[in-house]
Amino acid sequence: MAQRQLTVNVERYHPQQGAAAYVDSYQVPARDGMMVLDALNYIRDDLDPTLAFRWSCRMGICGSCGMTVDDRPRLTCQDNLARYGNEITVAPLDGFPVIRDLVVDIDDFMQNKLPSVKPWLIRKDTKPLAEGEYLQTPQQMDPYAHHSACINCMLCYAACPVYNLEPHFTGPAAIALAQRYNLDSRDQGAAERYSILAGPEGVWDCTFIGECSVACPKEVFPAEAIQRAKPQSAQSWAKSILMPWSSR
Amino acid sequence: MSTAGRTYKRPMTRTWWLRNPRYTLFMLRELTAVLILAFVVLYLVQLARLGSGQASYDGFLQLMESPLWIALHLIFLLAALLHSVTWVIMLVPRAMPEYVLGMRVPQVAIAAGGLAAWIAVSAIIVIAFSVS
Repeated sequence: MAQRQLTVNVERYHPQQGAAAYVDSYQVPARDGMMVLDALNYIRDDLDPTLAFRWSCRMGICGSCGMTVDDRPRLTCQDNLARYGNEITVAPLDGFPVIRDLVVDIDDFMQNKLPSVKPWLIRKDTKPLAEGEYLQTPQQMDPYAHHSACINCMLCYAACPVYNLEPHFTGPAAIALAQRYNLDSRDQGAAERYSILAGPEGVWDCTFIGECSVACPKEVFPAEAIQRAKPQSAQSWAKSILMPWSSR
Repeated sequence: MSTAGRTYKRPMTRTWWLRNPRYTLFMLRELTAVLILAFVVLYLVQLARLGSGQASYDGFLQLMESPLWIALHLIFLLAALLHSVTWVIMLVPRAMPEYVLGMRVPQVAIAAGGLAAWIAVSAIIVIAFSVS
């Protein structure tokens, strides 16, 4: 099995040892098929046990190993070292407060952005449990299915210059999830969510750079979701001006 | 758990848009609006000169024949092309509804349709002006 020497530069930060980040370099024997996360685990196991980073499933579904690799937000467990040369630089995700080394604080998303778009089925008429589930055909599922694949890895926020510059922006993953429910035939809360998305922190902050969709490892297409939410958000805003008495 | 005050955020430099070619393309496209505005202002000046008599308009046309103005018009044309082509091919298909009358519309079809409409309108304008 082919093996090569890989230099891994890691941007590190230790809150007790000063306010600035610094870079440590490690030599890793890289074998075919190794991912960036495997290189980090090698460093932590064999070279430097003080290196802090998050990971769990190693199969691209838990969404916890997002980092900046060579200046791009990447899901490191799915990021094959074959993509890179003999030197890579790993840093924490852009746009989030760094707690230590490669670990970032995503509370802003979990506590503020995500609940703000009401990511659950909203029903105005709830039928009794005995009548069973709300059924849906594959054709009805198709419009929103791709938006539902989000794993909250935060790569789209790290890729978004708007979120980096204006952290109040609701952001790509949350708006994509709002659309996931807005487009669901079982949901009756679209008007409610569009009135939130039409607000000052909503879809109009997006300048359609489109990098969130490039960064997304699950093909959720948040940039597309945001653009398609814009007309309905404008309608919702116009309706609230013209007919303030109508229930939102 | 509060981590406030003990964290740091990776700095965003003034040259962030040079880090990634897609960011750069975005910034260039946004800048095209300024160049197109400049062209529109120039066009309004041209109309004003046309309104103030033959001599005034001839002077304007003569000025426009200088290499500097020809170069500027080439830049205006490139800006308009960059703006139109990137919007029609790259952005409109991604922003349009995926479903029309319950049928999924392929993004290639939207891009091709937009491009065809753009070429058709341009051709009509060119023909209309060359006939008169």
